[in-house]
Amino acid sequence: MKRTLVNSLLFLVQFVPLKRNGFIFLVFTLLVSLFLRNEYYGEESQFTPFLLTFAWLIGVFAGLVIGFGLLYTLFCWAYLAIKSRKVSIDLSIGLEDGQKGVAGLVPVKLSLSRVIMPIIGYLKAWVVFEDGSMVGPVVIHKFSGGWKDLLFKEGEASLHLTKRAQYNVKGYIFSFEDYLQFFRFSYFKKFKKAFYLYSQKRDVPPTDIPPSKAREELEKVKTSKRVEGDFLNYKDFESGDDVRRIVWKIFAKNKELVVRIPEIINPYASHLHLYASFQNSLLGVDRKYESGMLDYYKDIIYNTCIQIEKSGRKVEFSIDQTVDDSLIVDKKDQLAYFLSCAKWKKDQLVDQFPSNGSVSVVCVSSLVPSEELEELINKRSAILFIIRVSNYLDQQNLFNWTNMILRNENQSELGKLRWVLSRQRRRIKQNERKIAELVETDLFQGQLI
Amino acid sequence: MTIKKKGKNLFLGLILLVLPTLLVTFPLLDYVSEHYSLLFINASFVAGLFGSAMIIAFVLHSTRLRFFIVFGALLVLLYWVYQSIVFFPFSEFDSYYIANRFRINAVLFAIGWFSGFGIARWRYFLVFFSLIVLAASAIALSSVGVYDANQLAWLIAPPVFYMFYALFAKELLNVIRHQTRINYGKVLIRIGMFCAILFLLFWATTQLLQTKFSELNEALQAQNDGEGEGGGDSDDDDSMLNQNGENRFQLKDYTELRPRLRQSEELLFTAYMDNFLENEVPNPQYITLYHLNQYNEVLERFEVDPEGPADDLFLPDPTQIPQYYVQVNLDVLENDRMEKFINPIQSTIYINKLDPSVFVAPSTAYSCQPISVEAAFRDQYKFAYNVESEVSGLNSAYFVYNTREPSIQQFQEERFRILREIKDYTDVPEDYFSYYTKTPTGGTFDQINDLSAQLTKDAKTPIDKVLAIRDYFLSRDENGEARFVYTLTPGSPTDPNIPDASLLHNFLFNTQKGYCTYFAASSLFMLRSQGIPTRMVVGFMTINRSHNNPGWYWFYADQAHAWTQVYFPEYGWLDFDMTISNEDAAETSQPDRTPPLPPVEPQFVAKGVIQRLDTTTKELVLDADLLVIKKTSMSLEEPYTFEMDASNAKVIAEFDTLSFKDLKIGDTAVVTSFDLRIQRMRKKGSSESDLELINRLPDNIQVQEILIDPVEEEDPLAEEEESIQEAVNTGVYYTLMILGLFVLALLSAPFIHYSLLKSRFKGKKEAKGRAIAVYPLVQFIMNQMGYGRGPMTPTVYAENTVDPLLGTNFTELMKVYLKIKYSKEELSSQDEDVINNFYPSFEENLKAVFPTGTRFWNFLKVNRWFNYLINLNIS
Repeated sequence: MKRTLVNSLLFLVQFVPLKRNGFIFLVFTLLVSLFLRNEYYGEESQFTPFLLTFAWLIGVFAGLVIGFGLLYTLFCWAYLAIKSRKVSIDLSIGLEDGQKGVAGLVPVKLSLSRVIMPIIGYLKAWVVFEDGSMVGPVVIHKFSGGWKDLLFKEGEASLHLTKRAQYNVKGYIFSFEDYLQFFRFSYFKKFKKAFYLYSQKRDVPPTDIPPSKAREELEKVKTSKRVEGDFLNYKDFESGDDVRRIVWKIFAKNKELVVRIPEIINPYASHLHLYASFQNSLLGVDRKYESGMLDYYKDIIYNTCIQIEKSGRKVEFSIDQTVDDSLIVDKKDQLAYFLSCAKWKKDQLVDQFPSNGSVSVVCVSSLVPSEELEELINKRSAILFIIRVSNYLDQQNLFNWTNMILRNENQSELGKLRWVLSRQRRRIKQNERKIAELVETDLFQGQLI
Repeated sequence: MTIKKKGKNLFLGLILLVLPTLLVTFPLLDYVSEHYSLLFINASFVAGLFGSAMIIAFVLHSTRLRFFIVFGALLVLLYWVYQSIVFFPFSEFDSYYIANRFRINAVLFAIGWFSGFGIARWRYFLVFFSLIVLAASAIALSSVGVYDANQLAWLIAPPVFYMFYALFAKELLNVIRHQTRINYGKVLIRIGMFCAILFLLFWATTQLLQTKFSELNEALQAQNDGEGEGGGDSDDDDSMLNQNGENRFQLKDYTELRPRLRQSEELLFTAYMDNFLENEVPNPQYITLYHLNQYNEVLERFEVDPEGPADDLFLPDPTQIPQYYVQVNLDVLENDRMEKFINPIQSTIYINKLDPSVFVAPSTAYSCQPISVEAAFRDQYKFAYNVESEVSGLNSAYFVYNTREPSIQQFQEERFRILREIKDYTDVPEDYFSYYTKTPTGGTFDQINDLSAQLTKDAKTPIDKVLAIRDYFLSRDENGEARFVYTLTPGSPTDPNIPDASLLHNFLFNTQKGYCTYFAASSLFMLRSQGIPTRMVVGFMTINRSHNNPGWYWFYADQAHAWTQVYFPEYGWLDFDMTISNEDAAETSQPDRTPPLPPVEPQFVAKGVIQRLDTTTKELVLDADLLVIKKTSMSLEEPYTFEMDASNAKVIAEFDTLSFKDLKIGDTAVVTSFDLRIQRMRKKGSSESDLELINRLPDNIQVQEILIDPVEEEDPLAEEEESIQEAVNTGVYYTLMILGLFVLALLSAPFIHYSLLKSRFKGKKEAKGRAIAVYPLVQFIMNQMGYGRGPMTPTVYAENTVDPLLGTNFTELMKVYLKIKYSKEELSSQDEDVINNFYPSFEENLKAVFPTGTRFWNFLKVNRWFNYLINLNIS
C-alpha cells in the first residue's frame, strides 16, 4: 500500500512543471536577495544605486534566459502532445530474444519520431511498469542520419533493474526539460511490453547430491553414439567445461565445439527434481530486506541448478506457486522464468511440500521456522538445501576500516547499519542458529548454504 | 564505468566546471588580498592557493574518498601549524604578520577545498555557490568607482554568466555521465551554443534597459557626488558644505536632523591659535564654517540663507589666493556687531584631509594668507594658511558645564556676570532682531514655545534664560538619570501617524536622545521663542588634548559640530553649546601629534607670468604684478620684470616636486626668495613708494621656491572612467586575442598532428620502421577524410574501407605490418617492396579522390581530430 502510494506520487511528480533545480534556484535567489536587501540596501546606503542597477540587469537577463528556455521547451512538448498519435516509439531492451535478460544493468535503446528537441535542452524518457514503478531516465540525445529535427531520435541507457522478476511495461513518460533543467513538461504514452530478468552468475558452494533413482520408467537416457569408444554423451561446450573433453574430430569436421560427458554408472540417475519453496513465515520482515533476500535466494537456487547441470545432471525445476503463462518460454529457460515469477509466500506449510518421492531436492530459505524444518528433516523425504538469506546483507563488514576512508558505491551504509541494528536480523539469526543445530543432527540430509 | 571513461569525465569536469569557477572567483580573491594588503597578502598567491585546493579536492573527491575524514585531517593539520607559528619565538610583529597571513591563507585553502568537494559531489552546490559569488561581486563592484550603468553591466557580466553556465554545465555533465557512449564533440558544441545564447541575451538585455540605465546613471552620479556628496543644492554656499572630495567626512550631515549620523576619525586639519587666558592657559575657540539661518521644516534641515542680513562670515577660497599674498575682508568686522571685549588673534591652519578650498578659522576671521609647508611635513599637510581673526573676549570653546579648571570656571562666572548687564534687545534694529528670532508656528513649535516659557519663567535676563535652557538639558529625572542622552543613532519616530511626529518633536518630547544638531536646533527654537536672537553654526569644536603643545589643536572628523550662537548687543555673537556628553569628546582617544614647524618667512614673494627661461644657467624672467616684500603686500597696475636666479630653486606644482625643465614660458608662477640681500634691506619709511622699494631690490634675485599653478585638473571621474574603459578595452582585447589564438591553435592541431606523423614516417629509413610509422599516418589521414576505423580490425578496415575507396594495397601492407608486429620472421624482399611502394601510391590516389580543397576543408574539421584522439586504439 505504502509502495503503491509512493509509486503514484513519483509518477505524479514527473508532471510537476517546476523541477527541483528550479525550486532550489528560486529559494536560494530569494534568500540571497533578502540578505542583500537587509544588509546593504537602504536610503542612506552607498550600495543602493548599484544594487538597483544590478537587480534590474540580472532580473531582466534571468527572465530572458529562463523564459526563452521555458517557452521553447513548452513548444516542443505541445508539438508532441498534439502529434502524439503520429509518434512512433521503438523500445529495444538489450535482452536475449527481447524477452529475457540478466538482472542488473539492462541496456535500453529508445527511438522515436516526430519530436522537436528543446534547444540544447533534454528529452528524457521514463519507463513505467504496471505496478506503478518507474525506471530511467533514458536521455534522447542521438540524431540518426543527420541534424534535422523530425528525424528519429534515439537514446540509450543502462537501466538499473535488479529484481529477478517479470516486468510489464505500461508506457513511457517523455519529459521535455529546458537547458537549465528548471522546467519539465511531461507526456505519458501507453505502450505494452513484457520481459523477465534472471540471476547473474555467482559462485555457490559445491553441492554433493548422491545419486538417486529418477524417472526410470518414464524416460531413458538418450544415447547418441557418434564416435567409437565408451563415450556416449555429448553436449555443446560451455565456459567452465573441461577443455580436455573437447572432441576435436567433431570440431575439425563441423567447426563445432562439443564436449563428451563421461559415462556414469547409473544412467538413470542423471535426472533430479528440484523443488524450491518460497515460504516466508517470519512475519514482519521489513519489505526492503524481503526483496533483497528474495533476489539472493533466487540467485543461489539458480546458480546451484546451473552447477548441478554442469556436473552432468538434468534438473527439473518447480516452485511452490503458479507460474504466469503470459510469456512463452523454451524449456531451457524454464528455470530462469519460474524463478522470475516466484514471490515470497506466507501461507504454505511444510506439509504441503510434495512428498511422494518425486522430488530429489527441496530448497528452502532460513525464513522458514526451524520447527517446521525439523518436521521436514524428520520426514527424510528429500535432500534439503537450506539457504541462509541473511548472508545477503551480512556479507559486508560494517567495521571494515576501508569503509571509513572509501565510500561503497553499491550499498547504502545507512542501510547496512539499519540491518545490523534491526530486530528482524536478530530473529532471522536466531532461526538460523537453530537451523544450524538441526543440520548437525544425523537425520539431516542436505546442505546448509 | 571504465577507468578511461572516468578519467575523461574528470578532465571534462576540471575544464568545464573548476576552471570557470576559478576565473570568476579571481577578482574576489584580489579584493580580499587588497583588503588585507597590510598583511602583504599577494593576489596571485591567494588565487593559486585557492585554485590548487579546489582542483585537488575535486580530483580526490571524484573518487570514492570520503570527505569528512580527509577534510577533518586537513583542518587539524592547518590548526596545528597555525598554533606552531603563534608560539614560535618570532619577534612580536613578525609573529603577528606571519600568523595572520597563515590564518587567512588557511581559511581560503579550506574554502577552496570545500568548494572543490561541493562541485565534485553535490548536485546543487553550484546553485548556492554561484549566487554567493554573484552577490559578493555586486558588493565589490559597488566600491570600484564606476558610476556608469552600462559599464557596470559588463563588469557584472562574468559572474552572471557563470551563474547560469555552472547550472547548465553541471547538469550536462550529470546527464552524459550515465550515457553508454559519449560524443565529446557534441558536448563541447552544446556548451558553445549555450554560451552564445547567454551572450546574445545579455546584449539584448543591455539594449532593452538603455532607458532604465539613463535613470540609474543619475542615481549613480548622485551617489558619486554624494561621496563628495552632492546634496542637489545649486546654492554655492550649500555646495561648500558638500566639498570634501574623496573623504567620508561630510559636514552636511550636521546641518539636518537624521535618524543616524555617520562619523569618521580622519584628521582633517591642525591649527595653532594664539589665544590664551591669563597665566598662559590656552583659550581655544570653536572653528566656524557656516552660519545657517534658514530652517526647512519639511526636511528638518538648516540651510545657508543667501538673502540674510549682512553677514559676518569671511569665506575665501585659500587655494585661489597666491601664496604669501593676503586676502582681506574688513566688512565682516563691521557686520559682527562686536564692540566690546574684542580680542585679535592669529591662527595658522594646516590642512590634512579637509578640502583645502574650505576656509576654516575662528570667527570673526577677516584675512587669509596661504603659506608654504615645511618639506618634512608635506606628506601630512598639503596646504597651510595664516588667519587673522577678531574674537570676543567672552567667547570660549570650553563648554558650559564640563570644565574643572578653576580659572576657566572663574572665567565662565565672570562671563555670565558681564552678560547679565544686558536686560533686553530694545536697542537692536528691528529687522535684525526679527530675523534672528523668527520661528515656525504650529504643532511642535507651539509645544517648544510652551516648554521654553515654562523653563525660563523665572529668568530675568537673556543670559539667565540661556542658562535655564542649558540646565534643562543637563538636568536629571526623578530617578537620578540624565534626562537627555547623547547618541549618534536617535532613530526615527516610532509612529509616524502621530501628528507632528518630526525628529525634533521625537527628540524633545519622546526619546530625549540625539546628537549635537538636535541639541542645537532645540535650543535655537527655545531661545528664539523667548525673543533671544540665536543662530545655528556648523564647524568644529576645539579640544585641548594635552599640555605638550599649548596653543596647538588637532581637528578630527568626529569633532565636526553644530551649536548655537546667541547675540548679545555690543558683545556680538557668543558661542553657547547646549550639547551634552562633551566629557566623552574631551576624553577622546585621538592622539596629540607633533605640530608642524612653521616655515621661514620669505623676504620676497612675487606672482607673475614667466617670460623667459634658460635651462642651462637656470635663470628666469618673471613679469610680476603681485608682490610681497618683507611682509608688505603690493598689487602693481603694470607688471614689473624681474630677472631671477633659480639655480637653487625647488619647482613645486601644488603637491608635486618638478624640475626646472618642467617650467614653460607663459606659466603663471609664484616665486619666493630668502635672499639675504633683501633681508638686509631696510625700508626708508612710509614716504618710500612701492616702486622705489622695488627698484632698490637687488638684481638677479635668488629664488628658493617656484610654485606653478597646478595643471587644470581633468575631471577625476572622467579620468577614472577613462582608465577603467581602457582597462576594459585592454581586457577585451587580450581576451579576444587569447580566444583567437586558441581557435587558431585548435584549427591548426590536425595539420600539426599530420606533420608530426609524416615527419616520423619520413625519418624512418629501414622498412620495418616505415611500416610501423605509415600505419598511424594513413589511419589519421583517412580519419580526417571521414573514414575512421571505428570498431573494425585493421585488416577489415583496410579491406573494406581504404582499398575499395582509394584503390590502394593497404591490405597487403597490413599483413606485413602484422607480420612485423607479431612474428619474428625477417621481411622478404616482396614485403619490403610493399612497404616502400605503398605510401607514394596512396598519396596519389588520395589526391585523386579528394581534391586539395576537400582535403584542406576536411583537415579543418577539429571534431574528427578529437574523435581520433579519443578513440585512439593503436597499441
